[in-house]
Amino acid sequence: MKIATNFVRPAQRAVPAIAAAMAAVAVALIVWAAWLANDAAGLRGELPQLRTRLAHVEAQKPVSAVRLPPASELGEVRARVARINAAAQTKGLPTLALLDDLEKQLPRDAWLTSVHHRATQGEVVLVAAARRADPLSDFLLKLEDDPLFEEVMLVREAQAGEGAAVQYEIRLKVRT
Amino acid sequence: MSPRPEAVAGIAIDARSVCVALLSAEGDGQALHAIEVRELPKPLFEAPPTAVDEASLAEALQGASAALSGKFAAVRVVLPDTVIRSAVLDLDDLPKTEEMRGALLRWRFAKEWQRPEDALECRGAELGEDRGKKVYFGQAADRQWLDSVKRALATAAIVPWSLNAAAVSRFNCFHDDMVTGAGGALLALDAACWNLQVWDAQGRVRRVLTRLRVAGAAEYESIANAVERAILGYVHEAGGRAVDSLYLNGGEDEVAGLAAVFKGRLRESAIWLRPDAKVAGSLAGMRTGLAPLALAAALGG
Repeated sequence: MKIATNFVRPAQRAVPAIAAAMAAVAVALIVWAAWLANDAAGLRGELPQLRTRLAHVEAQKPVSAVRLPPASELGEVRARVARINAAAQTKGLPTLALLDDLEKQLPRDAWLTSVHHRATQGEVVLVAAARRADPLSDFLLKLEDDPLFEEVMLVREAQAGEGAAVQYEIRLKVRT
Repeated sequence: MSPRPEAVAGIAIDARSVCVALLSAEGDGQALHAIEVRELPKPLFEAPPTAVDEASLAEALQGASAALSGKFAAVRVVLPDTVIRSAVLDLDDLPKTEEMRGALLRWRFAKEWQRPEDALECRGAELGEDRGKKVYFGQAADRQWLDSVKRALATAAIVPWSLNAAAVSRFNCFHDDMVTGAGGALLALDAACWNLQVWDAQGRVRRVLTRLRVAGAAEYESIANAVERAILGYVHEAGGRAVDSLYLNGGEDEVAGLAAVFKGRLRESAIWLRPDAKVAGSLAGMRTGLAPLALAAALGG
């Protein structure tokens, strides 16, 4: 009975497994190459037909040059656009944001009767009303503390008669 | 299934030299192609390996294996029986796992060798049963030297198919000549040690004995005495055991001297086993020094 011990891992035992793995990889690569060659042949077959279609499409394409207006007319258009932009430009906050802020500042027992927002000038004229003068005074103070406004001015205070609502007309300068 | 190499080579390494024997296929057998020997500048295996030892071994291997370059050869490497020790254990029960068997061998050889268990690398092989005992062949190698030799082989660009003890290599090489259905013994002489292997009628190695050589006028007598005691001990240990033949292997001069000593002690003469007789061709130095061991390695693994 021969003795089969060994103090090294015999490299030759791994050779068949490595050879089999390499053969499998080689076969896979050959199959892939064949598939690619077949695919390339198919694409090459379609090439003349595609070239014909391309030539046909190019022949049918209308040749139209875009005509620009004369330079004087273009200058006038540009000037009009600039004027419109300047007119539309608002100073400070938009109306929606203004209303949102006023809603937050307005006391519960007061209400707005009118708001006139001159967006291009950054000015707001509003009329607030309440049963008594106190809530309107609070409202005025809150607006004075509001960082959105640069200037708060009570323009007019009015009461239609005994028991009628008190009205404050207030002018605001929006901070820019 | 392994690919068939175009040549086989045996590399024998001992403390003072390296020998490479290269055989190539010729007809049904093998032809001796080259034998190369390189001396080492400093003896190996006497102390833990150093980088200098490893470099000098690698250089010697590179020089001696020049004939191997570019060849797909099955390279079998043998180390002295003092570096890879062998023993046969008769066990009531064999440990179930390889890990447990390895632990048993490490424990057993650590005791014998007086070394820490983790300094040893072990291998084992089952040899069947005898009288209710499990026969287990175990080996232990000095891990430091084993790793150093492996690194030197790698540096010399040699990929070994096997690495084993000289005793195993010789037993496998001469197996078909020696194991003939009766018990026998093989006594091998190396430069640093001698080794005795005894096998039973089933051809299983049952005793392995390795002893360092002590130079002196009566060295062969002393070896013969120790061999006689070992064989008698084996035969008388259990009934039905017999050792019918004694085989000798080693360098030409030494085997002749030993054979002369045994001539007066045995009914039949000891049989000199020559690995060079198994190959075609002849080269100078093939029967001396490490060459017979390198040839045995090439032939037997």
